[in-house]
Amino acid sequence: MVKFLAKEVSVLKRALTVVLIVLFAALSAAIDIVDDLGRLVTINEPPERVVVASPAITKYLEVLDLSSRIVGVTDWDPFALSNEVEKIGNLVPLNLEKIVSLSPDLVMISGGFQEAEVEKLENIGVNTYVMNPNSFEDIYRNLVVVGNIFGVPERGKASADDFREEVLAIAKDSHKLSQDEKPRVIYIMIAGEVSDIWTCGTGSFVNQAIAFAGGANVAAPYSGNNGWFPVSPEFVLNSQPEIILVPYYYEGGQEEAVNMIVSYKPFEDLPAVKNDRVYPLYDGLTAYANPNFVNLVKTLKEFFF
Amino acid sequence: MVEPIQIEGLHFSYGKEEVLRGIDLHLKNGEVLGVLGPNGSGKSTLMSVICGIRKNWSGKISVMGDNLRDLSTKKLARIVSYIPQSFEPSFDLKVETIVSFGRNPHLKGLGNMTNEDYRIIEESMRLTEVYEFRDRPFSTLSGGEKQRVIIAKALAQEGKILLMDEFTTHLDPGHARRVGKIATDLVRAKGLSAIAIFHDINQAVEISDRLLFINNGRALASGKVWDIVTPEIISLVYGLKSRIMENPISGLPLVVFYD
Amino acid sequence: MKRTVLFVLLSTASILGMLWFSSFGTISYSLGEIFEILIGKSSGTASSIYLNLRLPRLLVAFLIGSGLAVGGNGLQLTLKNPLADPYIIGISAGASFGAVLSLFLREVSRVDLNMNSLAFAFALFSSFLTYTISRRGGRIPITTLVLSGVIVSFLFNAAVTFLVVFAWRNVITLHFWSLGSLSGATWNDVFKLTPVIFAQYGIFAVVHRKMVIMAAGEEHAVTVGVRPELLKFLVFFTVSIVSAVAVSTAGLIGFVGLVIPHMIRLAFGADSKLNLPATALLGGLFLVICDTFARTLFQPTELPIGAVTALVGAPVFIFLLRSKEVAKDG
Repeated sequence: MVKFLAKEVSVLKRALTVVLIVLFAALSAAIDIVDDLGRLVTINEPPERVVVASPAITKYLEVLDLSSRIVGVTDWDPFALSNEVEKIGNLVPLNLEKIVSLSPDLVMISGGFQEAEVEKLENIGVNTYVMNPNSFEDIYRNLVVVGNIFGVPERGKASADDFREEVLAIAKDSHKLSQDEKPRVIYIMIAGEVSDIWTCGTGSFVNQAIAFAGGANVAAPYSGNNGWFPVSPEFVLNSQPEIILVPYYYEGGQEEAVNMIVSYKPFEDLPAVKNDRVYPLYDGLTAYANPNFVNLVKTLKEFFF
Repeated sequence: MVEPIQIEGLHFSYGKEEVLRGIDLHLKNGEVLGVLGPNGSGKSTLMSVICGIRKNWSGKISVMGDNLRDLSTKKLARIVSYIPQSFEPSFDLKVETIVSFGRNPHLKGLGNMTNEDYRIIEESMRLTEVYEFRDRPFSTLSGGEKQRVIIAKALAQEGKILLMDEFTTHLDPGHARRVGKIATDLVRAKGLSAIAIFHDINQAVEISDRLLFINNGRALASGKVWDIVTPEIISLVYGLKSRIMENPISGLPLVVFYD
Repeated sequence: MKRTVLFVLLSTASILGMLWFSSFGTISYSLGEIFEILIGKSSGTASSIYLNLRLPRLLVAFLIGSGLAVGGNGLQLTLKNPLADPYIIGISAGASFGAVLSLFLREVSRVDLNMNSLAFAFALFSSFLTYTISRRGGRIPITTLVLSGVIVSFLFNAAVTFLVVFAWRNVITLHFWSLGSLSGATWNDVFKLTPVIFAQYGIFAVVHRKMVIMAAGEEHAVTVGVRPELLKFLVFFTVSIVSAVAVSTAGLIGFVGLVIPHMIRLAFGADSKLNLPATALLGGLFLVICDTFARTLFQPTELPIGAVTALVGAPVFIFLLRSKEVAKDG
């Protein structure tokens, strides 16, 4: 209990610091923000035209009602399915010509495998902001940041606060549970063969979501790049999960995803399989650390209890 | 007149295996020295040492009076022309291009060919009767024609010493005679000195002034044809019994082997 | 005479063709517009895109294609091996390893080394390794060299796989690196490549005759006054530097060094004086064409150029090979 409060306070401090810096900068009209790659980005005035070069980022702008300013997204962005917007192609390599032709005031891009593209954008003088959210804390911090970049700091702050409250409200319930009451959960992502399993542990926001929703992630003691790492089927067997989460990628793919786990012979004696507690989870919820996190936590809670 | 090639106590090993075990060889000016011996006796190795292909030898070798070690690759190539046993370029080159390789040791500066170089190339091709093939790809020629092209290249090199490695072995008798004649005529006409490795003792006798027998990396005997072609020496070199007769046409020794 | 005509045609086709190919892309230009941009009479976004993105990319493609083709030709002649190619001597694997290593170090130990420089360093190292392994008593037998190159490549590729297992997230960057991409080519790259490509051409022009002699046999070459070891080292070193710079700039682009010299030989013969300039031109033109396809086929998505060079190059090569064979038999 005390630990949890202390964590809340330090995180609050962080958010506060950001807000203070930004307010101070706001007085000087132009703002200098340090992005997630450690680059100092100068925003002279709130961008009117922005190219979002990573589907991870779009939701932030949508939640803050900034969709109208989006002039280009990648081919992989769900935003393009329900909106009229120019598509700029793949995430890597970025089609620089297309981006430049849209005359953006700002390009928002994620780090990770897109990191190499940042240099290319810098070389042609396009203002670039790198956003790389990986955790629950990153999400509401970024809501504040995005709000400030686009000149709507109050909206950003309000949105962040709402988001945090919603998630913590759910999480508070789970805190009342004792460790034994929490179901053993594992997230199984299959990369090819059923024996090629990737799961998430410490460092992944999915792991946080599981914890907030009241589950006990059997992979939590372990970590990897961004919290993701490969495990063998033996690991799954050893941990005897009561709930298995498996991603599906398209509407109607739920059955197929669950089937893959259920029909895998070595897993047939697992509690999760025997008790029919293998749940399909839409990949869109677990792919990006964005405000959809709330839905992720809610969905998980429903699965667990 | 300095002896074109003087070799004393030549030793050479491929790794641990000693192939040349102390060879002496003297090539006199203007002569054709035929080198004979069974397979594996070291004949080809001897030749590759003289033309600079193999370098880890010990002993004394002087070419035109100069120590072989003191001669640069290019300088040696201006003196010694090599006619190999087989010549197989990996790419389809024209006859004229191949003959032009012979001029390489003489090219100066950035390596451009002069009119003089082209003249020498043309003359070499005419002398070996391959001028009419000059634009044809080398691979399309017959065995005999190919050998003549190689000889043309060696001629274009203008080396005073010619090294010929079994250059008639793969040819049928007709072509072997023709090519052999062209080679020897040129040697005489241009006053060259030549060492020629032969597989067939009778061919060697036809063409050479003197012979050198090699076995097991050692020189067993050398001398003028009638002096040295004897059943005793043949038995020593090849381990075969033989009868020497007089060739009714040429008057030279004719060797007939029997078991 | 016929060859000279062919060569003049090739040169003209190259220059005009490249300008024409550069007109395609996310934004289309007419030749007239291009002309105006080039003489400085145009301005605005379209003009800026052409001058700052399209044009340098075109030049980089030409330079890299040219350099790789000339390098491949030099290796094939000098090593007397029609299969020789800048990548067979182990450069691609070395460069690839250097690239992944830089990513790995950044992820794991926060050490930040520039990816391009590390790729370059390892490209040279791997070719040095191939060279040293295959050297025996001062000589390099030709089959041994190729074999060593293949083995060194296996070694570095295995090391790459090993590192990738620990840096999962960056597999996609590696993917485009290992198939090549000219996206993001800048004038800086043009300035980096130009002296290197021209230097290689100059050196090869001087030693071309000697390389053709080597193509007839290494031992034979000695007998006409060529020093094979020296020549091999020179060619080897020059090609290594060019390939390393090319790989640092655009990732791995295969097929050009292997195929273009053969195409030129099929068209001009193996001993034409025009071979070297023709190889340089066709190599450049070829890569420009491939890059145009890479940029435009699935606009605005870009294809990796290494895949395009293989898809475009293979059928063309098979066609030329067969027609030449038919002509020979018939």
